[in-house]
This record gives sequence, structure tokens and C-alpha cells, in this order.
Amino acid sequence: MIPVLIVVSVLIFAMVRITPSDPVASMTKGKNVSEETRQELRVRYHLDKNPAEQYLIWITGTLHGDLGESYQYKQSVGSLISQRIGITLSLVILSGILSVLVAIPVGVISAVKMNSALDKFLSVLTLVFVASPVFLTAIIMMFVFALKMGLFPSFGTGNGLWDSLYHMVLPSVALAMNMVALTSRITRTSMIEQLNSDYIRTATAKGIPRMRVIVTYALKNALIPIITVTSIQIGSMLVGAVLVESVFAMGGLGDLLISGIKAADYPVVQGVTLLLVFIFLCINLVVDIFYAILDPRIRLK
Amino acid sequence: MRRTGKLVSLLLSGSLLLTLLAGCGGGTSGAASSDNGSSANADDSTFTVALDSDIVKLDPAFAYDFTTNPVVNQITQGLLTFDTDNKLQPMLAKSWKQMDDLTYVYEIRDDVTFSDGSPMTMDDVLYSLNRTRDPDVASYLGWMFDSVDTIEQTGDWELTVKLKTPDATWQYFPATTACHIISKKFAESAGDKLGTPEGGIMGTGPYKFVSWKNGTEVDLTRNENYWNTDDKPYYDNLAFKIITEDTTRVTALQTGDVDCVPEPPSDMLDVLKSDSNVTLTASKGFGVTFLAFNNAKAPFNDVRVRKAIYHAINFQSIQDNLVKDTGTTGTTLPSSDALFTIEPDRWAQYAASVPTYDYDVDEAKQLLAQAGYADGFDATLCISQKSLHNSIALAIQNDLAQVGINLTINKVSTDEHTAYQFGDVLDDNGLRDYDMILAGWEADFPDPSGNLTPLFQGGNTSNSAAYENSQVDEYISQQMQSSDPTERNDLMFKAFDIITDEVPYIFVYYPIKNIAMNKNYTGVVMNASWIWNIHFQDVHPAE
Repeated sequence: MIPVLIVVSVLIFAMVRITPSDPVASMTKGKNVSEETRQELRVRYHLDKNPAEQYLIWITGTLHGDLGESYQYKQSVGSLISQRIGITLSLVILSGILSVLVAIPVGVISAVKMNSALDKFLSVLTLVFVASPVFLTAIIMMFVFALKMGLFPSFGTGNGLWDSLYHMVLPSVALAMNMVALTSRITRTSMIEQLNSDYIRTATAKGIPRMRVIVTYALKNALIPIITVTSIQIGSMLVGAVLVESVFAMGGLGDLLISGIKAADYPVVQGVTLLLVFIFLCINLVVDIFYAILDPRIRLK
Repeated sequence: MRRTGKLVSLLLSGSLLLTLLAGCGGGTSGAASSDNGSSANADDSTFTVALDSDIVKLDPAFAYDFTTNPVVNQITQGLLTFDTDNKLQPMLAKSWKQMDDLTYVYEIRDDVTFSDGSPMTMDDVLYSLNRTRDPDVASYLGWMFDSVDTIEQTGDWELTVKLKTPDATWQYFPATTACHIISKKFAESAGDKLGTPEGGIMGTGPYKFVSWKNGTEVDLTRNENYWNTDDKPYYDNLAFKIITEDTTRVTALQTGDVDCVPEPPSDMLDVLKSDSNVTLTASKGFGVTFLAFNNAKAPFNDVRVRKAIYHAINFQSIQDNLVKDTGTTGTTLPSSDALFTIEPDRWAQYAASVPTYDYDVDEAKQLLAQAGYADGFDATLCISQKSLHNSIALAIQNDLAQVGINLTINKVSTDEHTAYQFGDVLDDNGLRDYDMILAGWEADFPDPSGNLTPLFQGGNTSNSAAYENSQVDEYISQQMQSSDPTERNDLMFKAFDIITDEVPYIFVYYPIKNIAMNKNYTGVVMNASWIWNIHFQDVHPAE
């Protein structure tokens, strides 16, 4: 994990500097600012040094837990992130849970009732979900449930646990939709494969109740691909969360990242991206552990 | 069954726990704001304003944009202020006088207190001005002190500012955030944290700082020690909600989640107009949207080519079909009459006398032939992501094709566009790397020179046309050194005589400024100087 992070840090560092934009120009944009002030800003943020030196300053700072100071907010990137990470994690976790709770039953029902009218209906529905961009889903939901029906707040994060959860409903549903679609399709395929296996036929022949055969025998064995897809989906949700946070003005990491990119705020973009990569790697690690628990064969290898 | 069940429940309870933790984490930083209520609906002692991006700092030395200033202006105050007619008015200084070309004397009020109840002293005044002036602070407004020589206390409550060279624009700066006064004691104890969410700020304004949840909201509450008892706020609390997405900001106003949206997105004005719950107030501004030619490059260094392009584009059609009521029609001058602030009658007369270049394709073709481009040429136009600018660029591209000019539109991010506009992107020859650019400028203060100097003075980064004319430069610096309005206007008119004949820019339209409010509220007057003078203490219920 450490070597990956080092390589990633170099890549991130290089990529934010590829764009032709000048951070000092965007700090002072549209403002009548003297050359003296510009130079002062360049020195303060080490932009007068060569890239290698800048990288060293950044990476040694990062290893000491100091991600640098944001050009646009004049605050430490660490404190910007810590104020916002809660929102993003809650959003991703809530929609993760929501989508798994919906997707697995939908997938199992589709598999069990394969090719029935219900299966076809669910297939079409999930296709619509998977095809609609998160951004659009979020705006449509806001229009319908906040503006027209007035059921939910149109934006923000709320105060206190219940108010926060209430504010999270629309964003997490919007974010979950894509994932529901893909996870339920995978569940269906994986379940059909299991249901057609010999051991299921044996179990059924032995007279074990249908429900138990489906859940205990088939679903358990079908879980590995589902977990793989879910973990990748949670990773991509981190990206989707950027859009949803922006639409619902939640002030999470996504908002921070987007505003950082717009303003050529290198420390913010570097810090947030590195953190997202780190979270992604952690999810992978957790998934590997899950595999081992679920399938003893993986543990042995 | 049991094993899978356990696994699923472990997974669920684990993630639920995480959610709770995360929820609490998000909650603690908001705890400070939760007790004074941030929901606009639930709490009628709070007025809620939506901003389109987070603020930079609470520190007035960095308040120089349309989201930071509306917040900072409520907390700190300047020596002077602008009224809604853009005239200078007293604030923390009760009177002021220009003694000669170089000397300005300000009589500071002796009855002002900071929000902690402590009196404002001359020490605080001197500290605040010198701090913004200090290059090490790197204030965005530091340039306003460029022509200042000394700032000194010359009496119990008398402040004297001496300039190095005469500067006709200095008179306006005490009404900007450059001369906002903060508490010295507070600033020194806050140190580096001054103006951040942890450090806060202390000023003399009607509201004081409560909390700033990064990227989400800023909360202010009534300053119980406010010195100006005639100017007390109606609402106890002010909440600023940061909503970057245009659609969401407008929807939040429509649902009543926020009460006010300053400068709503221009492509959504129609939606707001048709909503009976929203009042939209408009005002002319000091700004201009321009098409700048790169005067340093062939063929745009030829005035005939620039005039040909002016004649070839149907700007009336752009105004009628695209700009509509988000702006007023451009002329050959760089601002609407809102900026004709000194001797307005003479300016009106002058504006009526400047040359115009009407839509005339034949004239355009003739001029191009004279310049040796009868068959046209290839050119690039740099634009930002704004949808209106995109439409205008397409109209221009279409019109120029009629005279054989093949225009390539180079659409870049807002950030890159800024870099292009201010000359940070250069080609191999060290010239600005575009043929034409569609961009905007807005004077910071109510003076015609606020658009003249930045756009036309040779060598300025804001001179996007790379226009150089030594005669014009001479007139610009002469009018700057004069304190006589008539003489200044004479010089500016002379500069514009040259400029309107050489057309280094085409001024497409002058954007209108709007503010959208829930119809239950009134009291905010939109005006061209609103970046300096928007005051939410005046808001009160309609009726």
C-alpha cells in the first residue's frame, strides 16, 4: 500500500501542474493586485521554487501530517478536510447500505423468478437507473421532492443526528440509484449460476425448504462477485458523491475538490485526491479480508 | 444461515456505527451554529442569504469578491462608505477633507465600540490601515495604498493620509474593505488564525461573527454593543449558506430555504421572474463584457481589420436575442452611464458624440480588402464556460464567416480563462496567446477611470487587448494627478477620442446587476457599488 501511495503522490503532484493555469493568477483574479503582492504570494506558497523542491516540501509535510495551506482559503488543508470528511463518508456509507439493502433482494427475486414479468420489469427499471447520470437524478429529485412536493429540504446538511439524516435522504437515494442497478444485475447473474448448480438440486431434492436453499446455500456462495462489484462501486461513489454534494450544497470533500480544481489550489487538490486514493485502498483491503472470511479457499492461498 | 446472518449483521452494524461517528463529526463543527437556528423556515429571527461559493476569509484585507464582501461588510466597517447613489458618505470617520493634492484629513468618530464593548481607538485605526498596507500581509487590497506615503495621527481623533503623488482615485478607497477597521487587540491575539473559522474577526459592524462551517455556512448574530443606535438590525441572526450549484441556489429561494440570492445566475432570471414568491431588483453596474483584439498581433494590429470586424458582427441581434435584459447595449465606451459619476451631464453629452460602428457587411468587406485581407483569414477566440458567452461566441463566429474570417472558438475553464485574460499565457514570441478574447471588467469604485486605466493603460495585466498608445497613457496619468473634475474629464475625453477611433476592444454589453429576494422581505437596495455597501441590517418584513 505504501509504494502505491508514493507513486500516486508523484502522479497527483505532476498532474495538478499540467494545466496552464497559474495559482497566483487565480488567487488574484480580476483584482488589481501589484506585482509585489504576487511575488509575496509566490514566496509564501513556495511557488518560486522548482517542482522537485516543491514536491519534497509537500511530501515531507504530508508525512508529518501537514498537507499545506490552501491558496484560496488561507487555511490548512488538514483542517479543511477534517471539517468536511464526515459529510462525504456519511453520504457514501448511507447510500452504500441503502443500495445493498435494495439491490440484493431485487437481484435474488429476479434470479428466482427468472424471465417472469416481474424479472423483466425489474430489469427495465434498473436499466433506467444505471443509464441516468447522478447529476440529473439529483436535480430531478430536488425538483420533485423539494420544490414541487416540499417533502425534503432542497439543500444543506442539517444539525443534530435526525435532522442530518433527514437532509441526507435525497442525496443518498440519488447516489444509490446507479449502484442499485449494477449490484442487482450482478446478484441476479451470480444467483442464477448458483441456482443451476448440482448442490442446489441436491439440497432441494433432500427436501430443504426453498427459502433456506436460496438464502443459506445459494446467496452465500453468490456473495463473492457481489462484494467485488460493491467495493468497486463504493469507490466510484466517492466520485459520484462529488456531484451529489455539489447539487445539494452539502459542503463535503467533493465540493472542496471541485473548488480546488477550479482555482488551481494545488494543496487542496493534492490532499483530497491522495486521501480518496487512500480510502479506496483501504476499501480494497477490507474486501480482501471479507473474501477470506467467506471463502476458506482464498484464505489458504 | 447463522454464519451469513452474523456476517451481514456485522457489516450493517459496522457501517451504521461509522455513519453515526461521521454524523457526529460533521455535527460538532456545526454545534456552535445549531443553537441560534440555521433553518430559515423554522426561525423568523434569522435572515438567510445564499452565496455561490465559500468565502475567502473573514479578514477585510482579503475581502475583495462578491461572496466574501457581503459577509465581511456586516462585521467590519470602513472609514467612509458609498450610498446607493455611489456617493461617499461618512462611516467611522464623521468627516473628511482634501487639504491639497497630496493631503487628506479624516476626523474619526470618538464614540465607536467593537462588538466586545471595548472602544475603538486611533491605535486600532492606524493598526488596521497599516496592516492592509503591509506587503508581508499580501492583502488583495494592498495596491490601493500604492500612492500613499504616510498615514499618521495628527490630533486626538484626526488621521492624516499623505500621498507620494497626486491620485484622483484615493478618495474612494477609504470606503472599501481596504480601510475597514478591526480590533488590534483581537487581531494580535488571534495571530495567524485571524479571519479563519477558528480565529474569527472583530469589528464595529451591526453583526458579529459566530461560526463558519467551511464550505457550508457562515453565521452571524446581532452585535449587542453596536455603536450606531439608529442603524440596529431588524433580524437577530444572519446566515449565509454556500450553494455552488446554480439550480440549487435558485430552487432554495423558491422553496423558502433561503431568503435572498445576490446576483442570481443570468440564465435563470426568467424562472425567478415568473415566480410570484420572488422579488427581483435590478440595477445598472460598472461592468462591461468586451471582445478584446490582440492589438500586438497581426492582423489585429491593423485598425482597418478591427473596424471591419466591428462592422461585420450584428451586435444588435446579439443584444436582442441573447443578452436580452441581463445587460444593456454596448457603445464604443467601456461602461454604461452608471460610471459617469463626475460631471454626469458632460459625460452624457460626450457619450452622444462618440463614433459608432454599425452592422454593415459591405463596409466590413471593403475595410478588409483595403487591409489586404479580401479573402479573410483564420483567427481564434478564447471564451470561458459561461453559457451566454458561448452563445455570443457562436453568433460572432457565424457573422465573421460572412466576410471570410474563419473563427475557431477556444473554450477554456474559468481558471484558465483568467490566466489568458490577465496575460499569464504567452506564445513563443512572448505575446498573449489569443487573437481575440471575450471577457469582462468591472470598476472597483465609482469613477470613470476605474474602467479606463485598467483596460487601456499600456502594460497593465488587465489590458487584455495588449493596447499601447503613449498619448493615451499620457492622458491617463495626467488625469490621475489632477483633483479638478473638469480638467480630469477633459483629459479622459481626449483619451477616449483616440480610443473610440482605434477600437482596441468592442464593448458587447454592460451587465445588469440583480438581487432576488423572497417577497416577504424588503430593504436591500441593489446598486452598482454593492460589493462595498450591501447592508443586511436594513432588511425587514415587507408591508
